[in-house]
Amino acid sequence: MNAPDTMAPREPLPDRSAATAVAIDEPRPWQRLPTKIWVGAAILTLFVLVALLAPLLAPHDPLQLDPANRLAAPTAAHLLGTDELGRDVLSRLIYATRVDLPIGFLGAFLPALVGIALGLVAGFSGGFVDSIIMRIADVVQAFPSYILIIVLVFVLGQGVTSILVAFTILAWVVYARLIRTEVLRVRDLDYIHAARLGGIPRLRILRVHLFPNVIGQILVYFPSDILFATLALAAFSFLGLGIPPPTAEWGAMIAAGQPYLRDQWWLATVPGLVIVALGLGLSLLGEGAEERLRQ
Amino acid sequence: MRQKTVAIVLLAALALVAAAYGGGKGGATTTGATAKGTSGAVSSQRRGGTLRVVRTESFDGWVLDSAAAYASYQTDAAVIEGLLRPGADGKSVTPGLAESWAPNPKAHTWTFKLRKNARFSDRSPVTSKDVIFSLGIWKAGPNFGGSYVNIKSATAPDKRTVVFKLGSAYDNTFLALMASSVSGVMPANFGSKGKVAYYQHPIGAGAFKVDTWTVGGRIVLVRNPYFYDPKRPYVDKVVIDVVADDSERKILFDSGQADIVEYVSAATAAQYDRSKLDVLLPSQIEHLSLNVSHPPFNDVRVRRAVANAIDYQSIIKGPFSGFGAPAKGILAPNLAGWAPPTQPYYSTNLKRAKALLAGSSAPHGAAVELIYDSGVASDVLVAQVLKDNLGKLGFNVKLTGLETGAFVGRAFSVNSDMTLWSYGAISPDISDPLGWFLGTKWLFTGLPTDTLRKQFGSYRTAATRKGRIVVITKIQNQAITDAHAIALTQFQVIHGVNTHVSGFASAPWGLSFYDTVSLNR
Amino acid sequence: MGRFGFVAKRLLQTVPLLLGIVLIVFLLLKVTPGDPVRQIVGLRASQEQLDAVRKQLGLNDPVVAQYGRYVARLLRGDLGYSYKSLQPVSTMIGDRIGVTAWLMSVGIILTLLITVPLSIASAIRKDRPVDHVIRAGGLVGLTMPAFWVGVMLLLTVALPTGWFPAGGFGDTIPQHARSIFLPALTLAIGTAPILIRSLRASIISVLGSEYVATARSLGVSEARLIRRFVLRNAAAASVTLLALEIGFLLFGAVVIETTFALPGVGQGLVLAARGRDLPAIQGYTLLFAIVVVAVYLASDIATALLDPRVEIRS
Repeated sequence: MNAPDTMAPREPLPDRSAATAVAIDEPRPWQRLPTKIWVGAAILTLFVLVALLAPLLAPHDPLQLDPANRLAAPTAAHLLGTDELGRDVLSRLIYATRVDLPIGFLGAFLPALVGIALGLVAGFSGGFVDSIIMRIADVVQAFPSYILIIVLVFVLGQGVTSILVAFTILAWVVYARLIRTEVLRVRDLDYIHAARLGGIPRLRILRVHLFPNVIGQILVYFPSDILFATLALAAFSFLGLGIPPPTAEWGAMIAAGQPYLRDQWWLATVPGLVIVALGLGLSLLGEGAEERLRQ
Repeated sequence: MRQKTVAIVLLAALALVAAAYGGGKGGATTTGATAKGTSGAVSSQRRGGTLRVVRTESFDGWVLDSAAAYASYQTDAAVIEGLLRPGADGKSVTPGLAESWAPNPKAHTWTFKLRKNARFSDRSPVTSKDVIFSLGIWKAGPNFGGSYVNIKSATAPDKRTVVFKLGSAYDNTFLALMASSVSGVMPANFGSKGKVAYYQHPIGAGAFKVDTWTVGGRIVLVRNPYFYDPKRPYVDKVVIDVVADDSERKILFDSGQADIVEYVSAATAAQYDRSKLDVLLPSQIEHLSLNVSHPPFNDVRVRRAVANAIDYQSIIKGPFSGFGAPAKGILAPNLAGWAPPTQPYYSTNLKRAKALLAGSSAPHGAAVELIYDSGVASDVLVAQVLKDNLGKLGFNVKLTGLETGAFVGRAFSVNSDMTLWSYGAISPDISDPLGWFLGTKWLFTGLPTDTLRKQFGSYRTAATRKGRIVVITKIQNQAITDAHAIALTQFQVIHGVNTHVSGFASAPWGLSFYDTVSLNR
Repeated sequence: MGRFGFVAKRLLQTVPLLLGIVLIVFLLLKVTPGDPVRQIVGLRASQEQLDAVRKQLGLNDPVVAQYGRYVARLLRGDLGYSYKSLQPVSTMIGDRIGVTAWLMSVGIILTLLITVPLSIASAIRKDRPVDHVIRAGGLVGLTMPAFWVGVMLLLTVALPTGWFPAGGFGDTIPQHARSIFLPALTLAIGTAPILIRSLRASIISVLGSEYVATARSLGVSEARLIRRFVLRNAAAASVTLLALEIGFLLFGAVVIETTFALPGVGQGLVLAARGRDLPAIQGYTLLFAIVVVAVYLASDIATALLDPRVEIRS
């Protein structure tokens, strides 16, 4: 590319802003997507479908208690057995998609929004504002997250809101740093100066020169961030801070199945495998996006 | 299990087995309800070895008055022994540092004779001066000090005799109080160590002395060479570890790395080899407390409806894996002085519940909040069963699981609609639970405690056994009628005891003495 | 801006950072429900007794005053006394930090031992079965929670073989080593996948770069190429990546210590939080924060000093 690359060698993706600006005749991007993206998207679509069609797919009511039949091994009536209160594990797994998917997604999306906004502000304002934002970012990264999580959940109470607030407070930093780095880099390019002098508004510069670059990196990072959010939810459940029972949620099912690992190992393991499957879909999406952007 | 421990305040000791103790009128009988130990203490027990204990609760420290967890009562008693010990049957008291004791009702006194060879771990002999000093500390304690209010003074006619002067002719709570681990005898003036230094490394006359300890971490006790029984303790060392994870505790037990697992949770007990479990008599009450200070539970009809909607059998079968029995009343069973209610207890009858509710101030149910300790596995499960049960009545129950510290704060403030917890005694007398009720705003219901306070006083000073039974029966019946604190089940404390351990004898609420245990390895 | 100036400036920047963290912890604990005084004095104490102790501990003073006192003591090296055990917080931390240090060190070593060979193998056999297996395994290791992995290792390795104890830390150095292996392995299994993914990408780009292509065309063997260009950089790069993941590692330490009953600072923090032991919570938090900040700082400085291509921005 024309612009001198002063970036640290950790940024492997090439600058695409000029390419986007001039290469209007190239075939549309979505026609050349790698297989990975298709497979990953297929897996995710499957999960979303399960979430939407849960009432049709689940053989039992996920909240139906049957304590006399607790911890039963898999049978025809209960394909994955029953949990510690006699509820059907398969139905709970299916209904849990309705909790884990939205929270996983929001747990990455909200931090992304906040992070991008703050990163833009920091990059463009520079000086004192930039300094403050970056100091806050440092504090958040250095902060023992365990304490923050506990305190937040205690103050805000158990449940979705406090979990999402906790995620947002902890996870925005990566997005902010990504955006800010890109803004700083682009801001100093010669032809940007030329464009500014020529009167082209900032927004257009953002859209044409900034976003194509950084959106790629964000798209690569985003799927794995969804996975991390889902895993963090499981960790919260382990610590007793997740979604309150009796709602079915994968992390809570793993934590609840923990005492029975010896004899009813599937209780804690199967939800974990479901998360692995989700992670697979997300990883493929992320890697596919990375490959696409290298092209 | 914080809740169980916190629950009981030793308030009174009944002159339980009065006959055995040489005096006092009446006395509860020890009705063959012996704890199922692995084997009785035999004088031919092997000496030596390190006993490894694993528990789930962390220890509160050596300040006896602060003891709230069972872990604390257990560990305190091993080091800082008192005049009496609670018997393993949970209803009697046995000699501790005192070898004999006798009451004088006319003079309102009890006279204790200390053992000749009772010595602290620093070799100094235990004298009446130490007991009198300790009484001062007990009375000043912010938590249990109130229990000693009926002990007006103590005098020492000689080095080995202590005379307690009480405020009444009979005090049925006194002996159990002397047997509680809060009444541990400390050296006078903390052995010239200074208070803070003492509590960091205490000196007691118990079977063991402290080697090292950390809060929430490992506690190492070693044999007290000057213990009053030269044959005991059998083991040289006791190492106590805190392990939070249920699976991990079981793994340590199965691999032989742990000799004893204290307080196996009911949920996982079914996974243990039954022959290695010491399942004690029911002594714990799981209760649902309804807040009577505001709607909807200020209406007794609503409360009674709730009591009839609960599926008690499901609670026993599910969360407690069958290690529980239907509750008969709000008072913990298998304690001296316990008496059953004469009124029948609630039964699960949804139709009846709906009828009761229809005629109340909340005929269509209400949106209510239930708080519970999210760190207690069984409570987490019971809460879900209750939500399901009450949902059938039209109640929309919001389950709020709180981490222990936050839960305790809210429970004591009585600011939620329903509180789920459990309690158990720590002393062999029914006055213990009564004291707990008094100290917790009638078990977190907000019901005024004046009546109960009067009843407690009557119990304490009752001259005959019949008198005591009358009071207790009344309390039991009234609780059923009021339906403010509903006992869901009476469940059992379970200890895991490996086969090479003998001499383990635990009271129904879980307290045992490590000096009766020996290892055959 | 010279290198040393950069280092000095960064060092100076950490002080307000640490103070800021302590302040935030302080404020957060003030709003947390659960009265610490009740935890200290006991559940059955009366309101008057609680109020008296609250006054004695200075908890009624304005927050700013309390914070000021805390900072003043900190500067003298005094971390205060635990509410629960009356021991000095510094002693408590001192007792526990060894265990966590063992866990972290052995965990990091195992992570590197797993990461470097697997990333290289995965990169040079890109898109072949080996690569897929390694990445799938990485996904499983990353996704299954630490407490599950830990107990699974105990059930499948420790119990049947008897080579490792089932928990605890032991009393002698050999016992420490044997006790810490499975927990450290659990930590490594959770951390390695992240590193493998990044490292693999770097190695692939290095292997595809011009100077490697040149070397290859000059006849240098594949193995030699790997040794020369990849291994050294991979090891260095993975250390840098690990440094960035320090917060993640410390959180893992908390979970793993709780699962394996290791008496480290992670377990200490959990206990202190449960018991509302404010001085202990502040002490542990400060420790965690110092470690994280120190590691970031070291990593930044090392990168800046060693890589001449990186422009040092102020």
